[in-house]
Amino acid sequence: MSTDSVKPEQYRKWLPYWAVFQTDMQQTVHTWVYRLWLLASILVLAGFFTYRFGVYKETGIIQHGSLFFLQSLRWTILASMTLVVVLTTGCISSERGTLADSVLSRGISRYQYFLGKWHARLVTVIGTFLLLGSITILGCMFFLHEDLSFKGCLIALFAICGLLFTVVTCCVTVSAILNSTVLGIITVWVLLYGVTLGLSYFPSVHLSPEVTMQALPHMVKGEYDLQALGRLLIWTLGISLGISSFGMLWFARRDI
Amino acid sequence: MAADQSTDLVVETYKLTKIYQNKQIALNDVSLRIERGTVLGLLGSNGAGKTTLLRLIIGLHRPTAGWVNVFDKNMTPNSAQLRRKIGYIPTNPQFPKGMTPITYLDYMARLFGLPEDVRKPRLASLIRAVDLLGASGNPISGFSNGMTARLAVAASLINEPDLLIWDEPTHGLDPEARRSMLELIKSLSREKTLIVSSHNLSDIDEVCDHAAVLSHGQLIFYGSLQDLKGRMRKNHYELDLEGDQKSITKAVQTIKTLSEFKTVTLKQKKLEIYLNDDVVASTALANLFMTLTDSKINLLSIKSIGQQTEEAFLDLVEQEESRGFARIYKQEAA
Repeated sequence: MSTDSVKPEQYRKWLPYWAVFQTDMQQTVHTWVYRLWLLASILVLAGFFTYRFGVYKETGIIQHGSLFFLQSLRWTILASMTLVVVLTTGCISSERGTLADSVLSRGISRYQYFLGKWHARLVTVIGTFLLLGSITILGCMFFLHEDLSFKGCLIALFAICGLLFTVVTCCVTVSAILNSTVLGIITVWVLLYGVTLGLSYFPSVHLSPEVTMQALPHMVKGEYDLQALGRLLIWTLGISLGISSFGMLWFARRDI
Repeated sequence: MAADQSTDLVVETYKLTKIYQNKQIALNDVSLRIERGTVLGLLGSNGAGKTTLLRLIIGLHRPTAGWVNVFDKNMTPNSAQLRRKIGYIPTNPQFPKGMTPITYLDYMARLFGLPEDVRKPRLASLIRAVDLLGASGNPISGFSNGMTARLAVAASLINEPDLLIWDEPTHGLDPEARRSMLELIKSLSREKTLIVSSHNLSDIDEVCDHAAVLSHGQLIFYGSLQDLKGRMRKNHYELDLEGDQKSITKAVQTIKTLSEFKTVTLKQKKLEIYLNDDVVASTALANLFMTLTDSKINLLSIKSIGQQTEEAFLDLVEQEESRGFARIYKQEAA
């Protein structure tokens, strides 16, 4: 009887969640995919800068700062999205088997495990993107401030964060549902293209990632619509919460 | 009395059935009641359903039908509180990359929600106890099978569990590591309830007091190890004889004519005999001793072969398979 009354006090309810969150973040930043993403992003930014400098030096043409910033953002959305999908889609499915056994057989619920993994990948991906984006903005503002608006750049950055938030959530959910990482990556790509295509036919144009992308050149120059951005963020948050809730409930009921 | 009985039960399964994606029947109608202090050996050939049963008990799998109660509460994938009382070692345990024994055990302890002032001293004493002090800062990826097994043991004990579920803990270990593991199980069995699955039947024979035998997903025996041994056919003996080889050969020819013996084989001075199923062993052996005495042959030793768990296990599986469609009527017959 005495042990029953002492033991529950010794447990911290959310410590298992933090353990998964911290461990996953540490392990993600040590993966080759993450390092490749970081390295490629830095190289691309350096490449853009060198190109712009070369064009100016050789021909005397000065490219607008907004063009440079947009090119770097486009890299993030199109090229690095591939790496982000690879980085996040395997977060649960790659641990299936005895590795997941050794975690899920302990005092952690499936909900906490899913939340820990989801939040760790969100923080890692969006945190890294924000860091790279902020460095780019600061660089642009310092060197190429001709037609750039600082506030507009920040808003463009947050708009892309909203899209990344949904993509990462999709990836983690697919990872919790499917056993195979490769199948998960294919599923996520099909989903992303399918949903983007489907949304382009919707009357509510602000929901479409395509429309957001088209609005970016105006945003970075300071021509932004805060209400539209608010709607985009609310929708991406709502959709992400819906997707993650579905993934979490599915994961809580399935065999490992 | 009923209340007392329920509190003594550590694990209870009722008509536990697991069918994977409507393709494979891994477990069929398994009902078990494991009491506190039991050391249960889970026996069965490959694919018999041992690991599936253990994964259902720990809540890693959900039953297709039936239920599992652990400490009188239903086990589900989200029963984190129940799992805080369980220490589990999977077959061939794997560890996250880049971790050392200290970081891994700390991670495991945090998964149990143990605060720092509890988990740090405990992990330090466990590392010392499993003799990994010298390697406590080394990456686990470079560890030998024996070292990873010891680390898995430490991880399963970090929460000071009441129930230990170890899936093939001696798998892949060298004789020395295997011996240490068996000694550890023996010492833990004094205060904890253990469920140990193993392919090595001599291990089960040495450390367990109860056995459960699975065959093709069905529980064909559950009871004490003595009961299991008692079920085997006691008709196989081996005798070491002393005397003239010619006299021995002559005596064996006489023994072969006796109706009680099914098979009589002589290898130099070692005599192996199988009795017929319907004879009384003592009468048959008395006749044999008389023949040996008449031939002036000395008996150095006699032993009953097959008083081992392995023999009993194989007998059980053989009997079960020979029943064919009759097994459908098991319930009615019982």
